[in-house]
Formats: sequence, structure tokens, C-alpha cells
Amino acid sequence: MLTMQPLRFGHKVGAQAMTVDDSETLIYEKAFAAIKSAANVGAAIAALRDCYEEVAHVTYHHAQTIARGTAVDAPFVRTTYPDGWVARYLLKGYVTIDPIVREGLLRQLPFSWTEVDVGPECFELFSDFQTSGLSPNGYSIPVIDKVSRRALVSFNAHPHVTDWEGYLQRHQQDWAELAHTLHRKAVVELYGDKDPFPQISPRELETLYWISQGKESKDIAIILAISEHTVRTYMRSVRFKLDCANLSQAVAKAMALRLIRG
Amino acid sequence: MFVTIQAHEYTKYSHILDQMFRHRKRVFIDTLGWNIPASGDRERDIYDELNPVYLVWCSDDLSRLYGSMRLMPTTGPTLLYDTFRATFPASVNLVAPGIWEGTRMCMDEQAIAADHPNIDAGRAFSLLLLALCECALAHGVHTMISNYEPHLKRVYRRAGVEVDELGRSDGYGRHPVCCGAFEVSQGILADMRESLNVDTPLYRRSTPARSVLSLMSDAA
Repeated sequence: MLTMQPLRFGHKVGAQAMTVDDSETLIYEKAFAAIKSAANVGAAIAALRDCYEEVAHVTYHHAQTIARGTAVDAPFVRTTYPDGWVARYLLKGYVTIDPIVREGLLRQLPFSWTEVDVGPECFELFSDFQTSGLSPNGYSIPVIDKVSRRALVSFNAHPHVTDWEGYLQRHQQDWAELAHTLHRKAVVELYGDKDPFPQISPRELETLYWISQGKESKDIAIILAISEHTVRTYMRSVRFKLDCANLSQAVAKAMALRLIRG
Repeated sequence: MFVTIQAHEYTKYSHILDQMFRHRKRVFIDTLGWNIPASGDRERDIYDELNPVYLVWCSDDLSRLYGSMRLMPTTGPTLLYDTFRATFPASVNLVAPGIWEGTRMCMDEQAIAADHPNIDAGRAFSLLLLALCECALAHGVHTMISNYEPHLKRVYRRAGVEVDELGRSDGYGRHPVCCGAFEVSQGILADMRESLNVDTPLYRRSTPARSVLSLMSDAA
């Protein structure tokens, strides 16, 4: 029998683990489930957007190959931006100058749009953007997978948001994970099959096993003679590899796959 | 100053990056005797072609490099997984968006001695680690995986860094190489600042001359 309480551990880390905000975890799990159950990436980004009330729009941008510099070959883009803005963006050829996309597909670290240097050539783009009623506040997460496929997932703030930075702080780790959840869905949609199952290490399986026995991270740290933080790192890693929103799902999946015995 | 250099900034920092590749050759190949390929007087590998992030400490005028390391997300191809999986597959296989790997960390002790005579080698190393902690926190990274030589554990401890050794291997150079997991948190940051007696942030997040916000407020 699995206990539900300790299983939330491994979602938030470090000192935050003791003060997990249940509502944030619930929103994250809801968003994760919404992405998984959506019919396609287009529906998934809308469902993700709807889970976060301060977020007005979400865009998933998959770059199949990138020549060094700027050229983006055969992009796959899904966005919740209004049709009017998308039409204008395409009509005006903004895709060739959009600094968020250009830099976002080169950067590796997640970034706020305010970190991006915008030249005078972008004036009309952002002026049009604002005229369309869209907020200049945004956050973009570069995604890179094991076979070097790249994507960019962007969150655009609601125009009425007052503390976007604070909102970001609370959700940035969750969004980084959800960006990968979207990416996995896109890979299935684009290439028709799932990536091979990632290799799960013995240490990760040990951690999962002890979770299935109802142990909390601090007990597992003692059993494995490692720090509690490292236990939570194994938990996060195995949960990510098993593509699960929380540890109870990861334990159930590992049992179903006969990776561990209950 | 302590800054990150990402692919869109490689040209702007080309002089610093070139110093970094030359310095890496001197440290890892000439001094530590690592069995890694050199191209002329530079050390560059395939992971440098994957647009990694470099965290560097350099002079404000970008003329002199003091120290550097390379950061890559574990969701993508990573050196430590590829290199160490034969030696300790049980542990160095951590993959998640908030887990990053740091490799090729090295300090240019001569440059530091010349420009910062009051900062010894141990402190210089620790300052780069503090900047790394700030940088990782700013970008939502909660764990760093990194390789290091066993004697550095002492330096880590003195700097307030928490590291769990995940494994170690012989055969890469003159000393064994360890691989460890480093916690990144506000608590660690506070401990490091106290241990190193530093009370202001070292890492500077890039702020552009003209941002989306300034452009739009001009337009308004």
C-alpha cells in the first residue's frame, strides 16, 4: 500500500521541500495531465495556458535543425496567440527578425524576455504586438533532448499581471518540466513514435523501491548514505525518465514495467 | 565580472572564449595529463559544438580571463554521462530539466595573481563556485553534477558547498576523477556567502541596452 503523503517530495527541492505549496503542485499535476490527455500539441498548449491564470499565451516552437547562426529549418509551431496576431506576424515576415525565437533557439538557459537585446528593426514588431493587446512580459524555456533536437516553449503574461517576476519564481521549475512534457508530445506528433525508453540507473530504482515501501526522503538518505538533496535528485530524475507527474505515478509505472517489485 | 556566455553571445566574447580554450589545454592536457584531444594549443571537444553555456570570470573590459566552466542541461547530450557511464553507471545518469552538469572548471592562477593579488587560488575557485550557485538559482537549476579531483573536496567544504560523491574513476589523468552532485538552494547560497564573507551578488544576469520593455514604453 502506498502512502500518499511523502510522495509529493521530489517535486519541490531543497529548503522549499518543507514548505511545498500544495496549490502549485496541484496546478502542475493538472497541467501535466492536461498535456498528456490533449489530442495534439495545439490542444495541449491551450490546456496548459488554461491551468495558469496569469498566463495569456503559450507557444511551442520546434526547430528541427539549426544552422549555426540564425537559420531555422522547417519549424513546427503551435501557439495560442490570436489569429489576427499570427496572421500579421506571418504577413510582415516577423519570423525572420523575432529576437525571442532567434536567441531562444541558441540559448540554453531559460530567460525572461527583458533579457533579450532588441534592435531598432524590432520596433514595428513589438509595437504591433502591443497594439494587439499583448503583454511584453514573457518567459521562454529552451528544450534540448538526448538526440539534440531543440525546441522553445514560451509563456506570455496576461496584460493585467502586476507581479510577473514573483509568479515566475514560483512556477519556473514546474514550467521547465512541462516544457519537456510538451516536447515529448510534439516528438510523437512529428515523428510518429516515442523515443526509446531512457536507461534507469540502479540507484534510481533503489530510491523508487524505498518510496514504494513508504519511506520518506530523509529515511532513504540514511539507507543509501547520501544527502537528502541527492535522494530528491534521484527522485526527480527517475520521475522525469518515467514521464510521470508525481512519485506515486512513477512507482506505479515502475511496478507495471516490472522495474521494481512492490 | 562573472557572466554567462551563451551561443548568441559567442561573437561578442570571442576573445575571452579563445583564452578559455587555450587555458583549458594548459590545465587539463599539459598539467593534469587528461587523455583528451587537443586541437593545436586549444582544448575543445564535441560538447563545445553543442552551444553550451560558459560561466566565466573575466576583467570588466573583457581583456583577461580568470576562470571558467561549461554548463549543459542533463536533458541533452552530456559529457559526464557519455564518459563516465562505463565506470559508474549506477549513479551518473541523472536526467531532469533542473539538473545541469558543469565540466572543465579551471582557474588561471597567473592572471588572478596579476590582477587580484589579494585573492589566493582557493578563494578564486570558491568565488567562481559562488557565482555558479547564483547563476543556477537564477535560472531554476536545483542540482549541479560535476567532476572534480579528490583534493578539491576540502575546498568545497570550506566554501560552504554541499557535495555528494556519486562515484570516482581512475585512468583519466594523474589523479582519480570524482563525479558529484551539488545542491543548489537559497540555504547553500547563504552558507557560501557567509563562509566566503561575500555580501553582494557576484553573478550578473545579462541586461540588454534596449529590451522589449524599454522599446514598448518608448512606443507608448
